[in-house]
Amino acid sequence: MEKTNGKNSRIAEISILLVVLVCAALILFDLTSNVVKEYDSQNQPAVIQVTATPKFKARPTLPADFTPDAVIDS
Amino acid sequence: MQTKKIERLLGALAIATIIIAWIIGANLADKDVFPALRAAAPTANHFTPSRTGYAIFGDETENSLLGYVQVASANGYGGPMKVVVATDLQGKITGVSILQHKETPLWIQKVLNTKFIKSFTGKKYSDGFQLGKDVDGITGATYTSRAIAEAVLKGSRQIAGTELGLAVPAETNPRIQFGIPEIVLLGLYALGYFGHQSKFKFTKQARWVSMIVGMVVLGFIYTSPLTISDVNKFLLGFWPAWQNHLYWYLLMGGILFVFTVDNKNPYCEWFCPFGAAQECMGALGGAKSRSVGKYKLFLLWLQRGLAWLAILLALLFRNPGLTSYEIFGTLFDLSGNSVQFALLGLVLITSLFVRRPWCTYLCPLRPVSDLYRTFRTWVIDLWKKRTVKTLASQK
Repeated sequence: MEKTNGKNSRIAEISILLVVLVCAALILFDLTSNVVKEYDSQNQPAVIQVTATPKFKARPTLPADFTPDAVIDS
Repeated sequence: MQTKKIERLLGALAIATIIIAWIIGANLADKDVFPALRAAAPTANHFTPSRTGYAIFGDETENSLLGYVQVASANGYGGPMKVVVATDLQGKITGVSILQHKETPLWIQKVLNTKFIKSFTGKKYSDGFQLGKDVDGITGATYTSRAIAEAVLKGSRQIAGTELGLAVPAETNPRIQFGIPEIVLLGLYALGYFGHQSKFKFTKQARWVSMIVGMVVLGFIYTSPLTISDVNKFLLGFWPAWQNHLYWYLLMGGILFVFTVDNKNPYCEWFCPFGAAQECMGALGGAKSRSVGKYKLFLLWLQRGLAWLAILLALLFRNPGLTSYEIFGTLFDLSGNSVQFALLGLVLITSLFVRRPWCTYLCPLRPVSDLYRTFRTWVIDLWKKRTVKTLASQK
C-alpha cells in the first residue's frame, strides 16, 4: 500500500514537472517572438528633430521610391 | 538562515539588473517618425518642418500645400501612445497613423483589425471625440481606443490653432471614470478586509463570493485583472491620468498599501479572476495542493526566472505589455494566439487535479510579491537591529 502511494506521488510529481516545463517552453516561445517583433520595429534610425525654422526651400524630401511600412491603412 | 541570505542576495541582484535594464531602455533611440508621417499623409510628396509639426505638399511647388501633420500623444493602457494626425487646410482630418505605442500586442491588433482608425477621417478639430458617444470604441481595448481618440483630438487641435490660426474650442477637463469596475474593486477590498478578521465566521464563504464576483466582473465582463504589465508600467513611470485610469490606481495602490501595512496579499487568493477560474475547475475535478518533492526549489526558481526575464525585457524595450505572458485575456476575452490557447488549455486541464497550477508555478506576480515581502522583512529586520543597538548604547 505504502509502495503504491509512493509510486503514485512520484508519478504526480513528474507529471506536474513535465506540464510546468511544457508551459514554460510555450511562454518562452511566445515571449521570444514578441521581443523579436518589437526589436525589428524599434531597430530604425532616430527621430528627426524638428528644430529647423519653417523654410520651404529647406524642406526634407524623401526618395522617390520610398515606400513606408504600412503602420496603419489610413 | 542561509536560504534567507541567498534569497536577499539574489533579490538584490535581480533589482540591480532591472535598474540597469531601465537605464539602457531609457537611452534607446526613438522610432523614425517619417514612415508614420507617410502613412498618415500618403498623397504628400514633400514634408517641411512647420511651427509644431510638418507642412505637407503635393509636389515641388509652394502652392501645392495640402495641409499639416502633427505628432500627438496620450496615455494608453500600457503607456504613452504617439499618433500622427494629418489634416487639410480647413482642419479636417485626412489621415491617422500610429507612430509608437506601449500596448499589449494583442490589444493593439484588436484595434488595427477594425475600422477604428479610419473612423476619424473627415472629422474636424471642433467635433466631439468622446468614446461611446462621438466615436465607437473597441470592446476589450477601451483604454487603447480612448488614447487614440484623445491623441487625434490633441493633434488636430494643435494644427488648427497653431498652423491654421483657427479658433479652437477650450479643452474640457477629463471626466473622472468611476464606474462598475471601480465600485466592485472597492467592495472586494472591503470584503477581503472583513474576511481576514479573526472574529469573522464566514471567511470561506466570503472568499468564494469574492472570487466569483472578481472572476465575473473583473474577468469576464471588464477583463481587468492585475498583470505583470501593470507592474512594468509602475516601474517605468508610465503612470496614466488618474481621471481616466482610477481603476489602475485603486488596484495597484490598494495592493501595495495592504502588503506594506499588513504583509498580506489582498488580491491573489481573494479576487484574482484567473485564480478563481482555476479554483472553479479544481472544485469540479477535486484538485488538491500536491507536493512536487525534490523539484520544488527548481520550479520556484523557474517561475522567478521567467518573471525576472519578463520585467527585464519590458524595461529594456520600454514596453510594459510586451512581455505580459499571462493568459488572462485568452480566457476572459478569448483573444490570443495559438500558443496562448495551448497554454490556457494545459493550465485549465491541470487545474482539475492540482490546486491553482498557474499561480503556484507560472504566474509572474507571485515572484514579484515574494521579492517585495523579502525586502519588506529585510527593512524591518534592519530597523529592529538599529533600534536594539540604539537602546543598548543608551543604557
